[in-house]
Amino acid sequence: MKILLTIIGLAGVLLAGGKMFVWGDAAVNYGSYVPWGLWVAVYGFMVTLSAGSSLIAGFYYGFGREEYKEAARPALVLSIVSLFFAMPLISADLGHPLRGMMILVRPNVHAFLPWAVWAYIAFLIVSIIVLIRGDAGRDTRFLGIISMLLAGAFLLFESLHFAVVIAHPVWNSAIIIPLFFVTADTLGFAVLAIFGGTGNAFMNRTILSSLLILLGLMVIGQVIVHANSSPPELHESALHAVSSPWFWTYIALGLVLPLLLLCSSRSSFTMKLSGWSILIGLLAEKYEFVTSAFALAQFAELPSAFHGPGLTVHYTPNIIEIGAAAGFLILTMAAYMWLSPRRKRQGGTA
Amino acid sequence: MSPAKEDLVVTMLSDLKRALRKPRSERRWGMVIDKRKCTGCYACTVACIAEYKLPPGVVYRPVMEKEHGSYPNVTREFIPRPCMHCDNPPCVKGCPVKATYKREDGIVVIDYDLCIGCRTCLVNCPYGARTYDRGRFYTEGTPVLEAYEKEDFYEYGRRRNRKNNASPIGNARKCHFCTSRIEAGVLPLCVTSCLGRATYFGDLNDPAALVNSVVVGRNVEVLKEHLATRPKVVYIS
Repeated sequence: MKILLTIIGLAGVLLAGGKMFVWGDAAVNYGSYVPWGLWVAVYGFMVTLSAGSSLIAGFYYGFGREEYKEAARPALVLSIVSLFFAMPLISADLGHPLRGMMILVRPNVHAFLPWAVWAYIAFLIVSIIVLIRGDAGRDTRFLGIISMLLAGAFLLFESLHFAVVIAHPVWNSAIIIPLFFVTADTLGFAVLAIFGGTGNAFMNRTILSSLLILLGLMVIGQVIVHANSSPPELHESALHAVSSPWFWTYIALGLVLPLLLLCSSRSSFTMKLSGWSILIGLLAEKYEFVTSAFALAQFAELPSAFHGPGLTVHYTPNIIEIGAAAGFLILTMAAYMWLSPRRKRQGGTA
Repeated sequence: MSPAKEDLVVTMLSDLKRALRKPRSERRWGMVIDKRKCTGCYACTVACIAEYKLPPGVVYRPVMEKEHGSYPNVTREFIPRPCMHCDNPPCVKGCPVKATYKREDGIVVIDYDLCIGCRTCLVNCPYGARTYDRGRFYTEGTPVLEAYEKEDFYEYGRRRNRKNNASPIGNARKCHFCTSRIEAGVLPLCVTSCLGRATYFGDLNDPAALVNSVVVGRNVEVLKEHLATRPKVVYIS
């Protein structure tokens, strides 16, 4: 299984490599009026997943909470590999991937992206040290807390990267910051639901259900507020959301199904199922979050002023984008399986 | 018989030459577009594309069309939209590698050799003034890729060529007020090609310049003024 996933993942990496070094940007469907597409959405998802997983790992490594011990190591491994593979994916999205290092060499300190990149690197270094050290103890406690804080830092910078965009009122809001954090926490507890744990399962289920409801209120609340707002960009983004299958995928798999599962059964199977459902649902939500901001160009008349490839607000990812994004997600799973030790099967009720 | 009135382009050219005698830091280039005079001929759009060999999907100065009112009281206006060269440019703040910056004369430029192609500036521009060069050619897919598409062009004072996937392919691109031309004492192409003489260009720091006098007593419009980007392109409506 691991080998098969690795091969499929590498095929996706090859597609990304093809775009980077052979076909160029002509091979992808994002353009000028939708400058960020599927790859940015998946990158955002992987970064948020990393931050959420590090939260679960931090409960044990940082705060010594024994009930999270079983899930801590797999969560930390997932956190590291998810962030690690998010980097090449977003590099593939660059027009000049090899110049990506310029962010470290000559950063603009007024932009939030370089801060996020520095936090990524520091997080990876600290988290790998924690992983190597193994079980939590006095010596890992400090590093465990630092790892959690760095995850919080890169998530904060990532959310600010979107929240300060005055050109897109859909993002230009302080709510984007808690939205990113609640999404990360939800993903973290979804990961915990998948990995299981010996701790208080009732509390974990309650926290996950609460986070799902909170996130649902934020996402659906935003759509309702935007639909009733006068700026056309907000109104159009709400229309884009409700007519998008991704939004309804989020509602179905990221909200309703896991809530039903969490409320109806206490078996570990339904916990795992709800965890996977949340992961898929929130991936769809991230895609919707990124693309709905471009539902209307900066001027409604702009797309009809001049025609050409990329000068449109209609965006659908093509096979290269989908293949590469899926490849990096699958490769993350494969890397997790290679690096995470096989655990004893958990049985019975949670 | 009264003497012939001087063409506006001649007036702006002498304004330009006067401005060039000052140090660059004392100049502040700006543009005024008189929407009442714009006929929607797209001469500016096409001249710009021809000068800079702009590929498919890249446009520096599209002309937007807007209709107002309902039949029978309908009006149509044309809004040419170059880069606004904002005094407070969100694209500059967002660029992670300082590849886009504001020169001391106020022109917002892109260093193609530094730009990583992350498109953050495209996302941050409230005017949609930036487009992304995806490496396309108008005649690709035809039996012959026409040579004119791969000819050299000059931007930011440098000779450029899009052969072999070189920058500016993979970069953000935008109007730069024809920096190479104005430094050589020539007006931007959109100004000289404007059939209705609707575009004025000059040094905003020069009170005697036509670009300043033309707005006196006029209804001046600033696009998305509420965003406080302080554009140096304004419209007479």
